[in-house]
Amino acid sequence: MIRTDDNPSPWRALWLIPVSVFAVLTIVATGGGGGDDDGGGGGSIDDVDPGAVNLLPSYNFFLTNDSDPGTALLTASLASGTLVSFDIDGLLANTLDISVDSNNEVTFLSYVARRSSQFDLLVMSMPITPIDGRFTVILTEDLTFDTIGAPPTSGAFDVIKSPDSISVTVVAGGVELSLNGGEAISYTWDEFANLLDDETQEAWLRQASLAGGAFELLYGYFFDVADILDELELATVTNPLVESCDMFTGSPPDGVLAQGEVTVTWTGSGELSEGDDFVWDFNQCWFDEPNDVTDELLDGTVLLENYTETVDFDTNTLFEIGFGGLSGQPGGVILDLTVSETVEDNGVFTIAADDVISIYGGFAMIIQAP
Amino acid sequence: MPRGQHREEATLLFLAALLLVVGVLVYAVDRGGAAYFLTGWDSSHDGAALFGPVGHHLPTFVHSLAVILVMAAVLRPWTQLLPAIVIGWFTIECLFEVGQISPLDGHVASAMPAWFDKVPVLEAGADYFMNGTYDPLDVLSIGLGAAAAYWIVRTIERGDSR
Repeated sequence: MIRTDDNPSPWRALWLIPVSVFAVLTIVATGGGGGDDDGGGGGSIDDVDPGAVNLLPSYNFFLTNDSDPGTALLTASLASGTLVSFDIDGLLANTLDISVDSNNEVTFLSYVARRSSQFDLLVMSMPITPIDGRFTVILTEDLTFDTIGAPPTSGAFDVIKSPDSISVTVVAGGVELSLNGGEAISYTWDEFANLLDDETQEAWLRQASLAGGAFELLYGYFFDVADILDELELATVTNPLVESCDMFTGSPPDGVLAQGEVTVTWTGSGELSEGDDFVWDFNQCWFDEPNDVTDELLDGTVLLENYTETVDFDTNTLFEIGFGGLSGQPGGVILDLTVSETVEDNGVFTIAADDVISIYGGFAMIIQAP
Repeated sequence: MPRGQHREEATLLFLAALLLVVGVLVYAVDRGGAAYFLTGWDSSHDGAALFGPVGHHLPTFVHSLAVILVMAAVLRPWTQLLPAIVIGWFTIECLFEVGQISPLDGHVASAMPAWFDKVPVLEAGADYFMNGTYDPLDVLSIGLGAAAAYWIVRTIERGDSR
């Protein structure tokens, strides 16, 4: 049977399916430039001497929930009995500036938490407190941190717990807080941090303080992990990699070692490759902050699961590194830590009961070339 | 008239192929191979951009134009469907553009199933949304491409019906 224009085969329309698939794939294929991996036709980490990999001056980094349903949300269990969990809404997008010396040693310079990123905080206490509930933290402006570990120097975010909206705006030396567009109240950074534990303060002020502390905690752990990325190759050689922690400069707290140690164990074999896991074990590891009477003591384990590292084969430039993935891949940074704050008084170190928090649960982190 | 129909289809497909080559050239020459499908491409062109400022939005223009031309060739016997093809594909291309707006990009990227990571091309999906930049001019160029496609198909139809 010969078909004509007036009698076309309806099956012909099925050609639209491959045409549409091809069309969509050609859109997607315009992304991911510079990247490379097993499926991309170029080199992977296995092909490149990591010591020779070039680094860009600036990277994006993304934080998201660990996709494994068996892994809890990143949660801080405070001594007061309050649980604070992070539920990252999509991806928390950030930009990081670094410097690299002639030995390829990386120094983190500054970072920006990008506007419109957001996460939820779930606060649960027993008994219930006025700050309990689920509230959303949304960056309304880029939050710029000129120094790692220091408060931001500019930016703003909202803390929303319907029907209330708290505006937190960074100003010189502190923040301005405003409830539902009302009059702004100024606080220094120390005052702002102390609002959380001050039960005489209004709940909205304490929630804003909690949100501020949440940034510090989340990014603190990100940089802790980012900081050891360049030691992982070494860990695969020495496996395990054992390092001594700082030694107490006086009498340690009761039951605490004068000098603990930290161990990084690689659970893989052969060469460091995609999907590898590490166990980062802290055995009463004390970190001495010079010129600070309060310091941190860590005890517990951090699992670093599903390592990923991708190098642009053409330029031998690091394209992507991290744990877990941005699109639901399993793995990430999974913590089970007890963090204690030590205080020195005339050479004697003590730990106050309410200065002990437990951190558990996890998040995925990916550092990626822009 | 089958012969005229085949000539129209061939013309549309030839034009589409030509346009896609232009799009690839923009990435290969002006953008230094910054695309998944050009991984490994070494662009030695370091002078002025070959396509100039037009190159910023040329790929979205030619892509929407080329795809509609191919679809019009496939559905050539049902010319009444052309407006639906044009509007439908314009919408899809726009959705991909809008998906690059933050924080939507993060939601889209995180919603992608993990197995995408093992599939060539699809593995670039998260990068497309996270590292791409939404530009209203891209949406405009998609619209212009769709309109141009409509005009070209109708013009070829009229030419063949004479």
